[in-house]
Amino acid sequence: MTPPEPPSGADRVYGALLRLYPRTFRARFEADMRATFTRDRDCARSEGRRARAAFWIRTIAEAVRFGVAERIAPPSRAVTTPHSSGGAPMTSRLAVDWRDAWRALRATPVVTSMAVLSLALGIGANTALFSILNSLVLRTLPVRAPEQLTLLLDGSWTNPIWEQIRDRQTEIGAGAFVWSTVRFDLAPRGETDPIDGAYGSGGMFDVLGLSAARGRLFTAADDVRGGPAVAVVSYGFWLQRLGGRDDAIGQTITLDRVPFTIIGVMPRGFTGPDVGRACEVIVPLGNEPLIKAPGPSWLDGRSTWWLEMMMRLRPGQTVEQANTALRAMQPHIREATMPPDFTPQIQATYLKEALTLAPAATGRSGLRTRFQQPLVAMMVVVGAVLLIACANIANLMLARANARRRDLTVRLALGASRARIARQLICESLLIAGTGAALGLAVARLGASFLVAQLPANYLDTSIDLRVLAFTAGVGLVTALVFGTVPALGAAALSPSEALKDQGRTIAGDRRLGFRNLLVVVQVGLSLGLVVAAGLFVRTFQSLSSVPLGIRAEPLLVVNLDLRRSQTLPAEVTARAPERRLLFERFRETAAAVPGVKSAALARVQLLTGGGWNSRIDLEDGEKGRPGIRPPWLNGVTPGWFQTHGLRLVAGRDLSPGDRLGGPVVAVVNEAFVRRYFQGRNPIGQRFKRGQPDGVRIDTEIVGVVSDSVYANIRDGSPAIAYLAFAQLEAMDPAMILTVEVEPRAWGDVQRRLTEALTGVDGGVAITMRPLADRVRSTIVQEKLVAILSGFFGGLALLLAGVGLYGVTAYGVSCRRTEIGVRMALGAEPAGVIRLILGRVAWLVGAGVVAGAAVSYWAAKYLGPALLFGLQGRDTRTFVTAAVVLTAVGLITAWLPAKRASRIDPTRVLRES
Amino acid sequence: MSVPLPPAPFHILLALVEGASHGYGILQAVREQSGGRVPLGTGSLYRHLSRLIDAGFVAERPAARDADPRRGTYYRLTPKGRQALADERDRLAGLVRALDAARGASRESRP
Repeated sequence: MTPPEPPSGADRVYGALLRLYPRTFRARFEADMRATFTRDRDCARSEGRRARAAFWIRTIAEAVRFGVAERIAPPSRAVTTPHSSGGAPMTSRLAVDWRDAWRALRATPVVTSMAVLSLALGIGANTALFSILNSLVLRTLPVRAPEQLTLLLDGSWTNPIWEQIRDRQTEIGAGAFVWSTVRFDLAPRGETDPIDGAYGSGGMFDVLGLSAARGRLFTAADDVRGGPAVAVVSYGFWLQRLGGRDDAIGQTITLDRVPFTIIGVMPRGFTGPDVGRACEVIVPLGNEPLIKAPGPSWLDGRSTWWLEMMMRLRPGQTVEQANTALRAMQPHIREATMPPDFTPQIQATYLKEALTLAPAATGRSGLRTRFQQPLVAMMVVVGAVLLIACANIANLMLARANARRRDLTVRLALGASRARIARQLICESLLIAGTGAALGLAVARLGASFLVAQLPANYLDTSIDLRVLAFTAGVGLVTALVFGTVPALGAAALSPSEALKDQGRTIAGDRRLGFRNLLVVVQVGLSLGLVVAAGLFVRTFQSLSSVPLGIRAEPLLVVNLDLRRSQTLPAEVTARAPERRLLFERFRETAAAVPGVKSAALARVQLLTGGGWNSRIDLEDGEKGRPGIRPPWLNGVTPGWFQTHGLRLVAGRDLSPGDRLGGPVVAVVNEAFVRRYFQGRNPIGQRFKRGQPDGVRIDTEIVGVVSDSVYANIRDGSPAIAYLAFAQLEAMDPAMILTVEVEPRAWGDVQRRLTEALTGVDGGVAITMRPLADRVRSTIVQEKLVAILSGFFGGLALLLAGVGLYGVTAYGVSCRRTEIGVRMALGAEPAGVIRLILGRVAWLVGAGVVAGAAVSYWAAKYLGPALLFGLQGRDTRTFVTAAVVLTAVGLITAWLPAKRASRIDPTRVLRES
Repeated sequence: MSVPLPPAPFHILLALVEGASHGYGILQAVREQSGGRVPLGTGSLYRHLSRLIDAGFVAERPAARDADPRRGTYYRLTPKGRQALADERDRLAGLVRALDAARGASRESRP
């Protein structure tokens, strides 16, 4: 009998491998298997190194595969073969895939929740902006066959033009209508209660194909000059203001203090042809003179451009056909409506300019025109955020897939097909993306309502419709595919034997790390772009909010006084009669006497409304007004206006009560005016001529100089302004501006006291009050919004990039444990190891920063002056700061894993391997 | 064990037709018979053996007293296993006949 040989190393390894089998199996076959193994190995050994390697690979793979298979599926007595694992029907197999995916995700809660969270933010931001773009740009009007609607380009039209087209509308298309948005005052007396409304021509509802929810909508029969004062109201108005009651029909409301009878309620969901602006009340165009009275009606104004026109095409008719028909009658229309004040040159243009209809299924929107650019800019930004989030998740998933290589390898070895594994990984991605998209929808709901609250829209329906849902689902699906396919492909490239061997032995040049490095570079580059954008927009907002206003806005309350419905003035009072001016003076005196009011002053122009009053001026000697050069702004103010607004008197004198109509006409100018027209000479006593609409030129003497201030909007800074004496204004508008300086503690009830006092002077005055500081804020709301959003997304991008860098560095360190251990065993210092790791990260960040800076530098040319203020798109300081911030974030996040790498114990690492 | 037999069990049964053998012997025989096309290692061999034993196609035969202990247990074909092999032979023969007939038919149908 041969004595048993002492067990060799290979036998011990095989013994360990056999432990993979269940005990019962071992009890039955272990001795035999060991014996067979030994002989097989002896045989392989004699055949050379390659056979030996193949032998070991096969042995280990088989041991793993069948050992685990025996544990999972102990042989039943039924008729199964070792290979029949794939007999389940497709549906249950899919269910298994989902279940496995769910379990795998639950097993790594931190990675999963980070992925879901970044996706939710990314998808949420995209969906929020998309839902606004959708409602503003894409959604069609809720009317019959919106695709047949066309809009007459470009801009507004006069009523004479409309009347010409109205009488020929059946020759052009299936019907046309005009409308003009307007703010009505609903309050019967005292302080105004403004509401958005419109004038509409009689055919409006017929052409749109709408029918009333209650009562009836007005028709062409109601739209006659001096016709019955009737109004239709929106569904929302009917519910909120009229209690949704049927007896609301026939009730009377006052619009600008004129009584109107409600004849019907518009269908639910329809808020007028303007997107982003709800028309709560629409009255027939023929009622316009009623509202305008005692002012002149606009209906016969050939130079009053105030109407928008829509036309419906006949079924089958194209826009081109309608345009041809329209242009055939254009000469006649143009000639019959020639504005009297046009110069011959402009008249020729007017005759030639082609009337053009354009498709208008989505309605018209001034809001769209104004906000499309910032919205699209933000869409690009959030798209980049989503890309970063995707890159991040791809990185996380790759790291996770790598950490799970053993697990996946075992499953491959057990006979799972690569397709099956890839399927599970894709299921995982879809689960993450699906959850992210669902949360994203919730984020979008909040985000969209936040954004809309910032827009000057009184009504924008950003509800989630099918298109938004499709967008979100599409984004979710694409992201899932983008970040899910990569690890799935990686799994397909898995080789069981390799995976089992190389734990912790990768060195720096690993190919799998290459792709992840690329992702990090892309991520850093995109983040740089976003940080640059954030920097530019935040600095734009900062510069705008730090523009010296020149005035003290805080204590000022601006009161708009409208005397059109005055009860004390005779009805036939004209603009040139002194009564109006005297009444305004009485209002000012009354307001100044109200407790809590420190001072009160009148002005013709309200500040910071975006517009104003200007006129060409000719200096006595020197500069003549030239076309193309912006003339100075004008204002008419009472004595004390400068003091109330906090302007300093620099030279000369303030306006005084002695500057009366009939006396010498005087003006006070500001320093910008002096800089522009006098270049340092003393302006006091100088004269300029300014034009009047009737052609008379008035000679005006400059008596004083005051400090600079803003006028129409903040972006213009401090323009040249000439202040005329309020009492010397040739004509008095029915509405003037009373500015009141309020004592800080009196804000609480000064508005109520003022209203009481002012309506005591004249019960018919319409009063609208607003703190000036409020108006100042609202002029830069768009820039503020863009700054907040880009700042938020820039921060988010930084965070995501930091997480990505941390992940890839930590993973790189774990892969290179052995290498680092060897380096340290050979004498590398911990500081050297940190340098090694950080050097690599610095390289990645550097590449990303350079690439990102190059792309951002190119993209910055699209950032026009409409979006920026006080700096250029290619602002060096912003770029440098962004690069420094990003590099700092990168190195800080890489510091932690680098520090950990420097603490690797070489003896332990070497023993492990 | 069902018919048709998967390749590995079929070759294991085939290896035992000549007489009982031990694990390593079976391994060698299978590799020779299949020209290496049926990959079989120790692990898979014993898994298949366990299934075949459970199905009653193969039985253990205690080693002779003088046998080399390193060779381990000997396995032999049971009558049921022999029958399974015969069934498989018939099935394959039927397949070959059908294939030949089809080939012949296609040859005849040629113009």
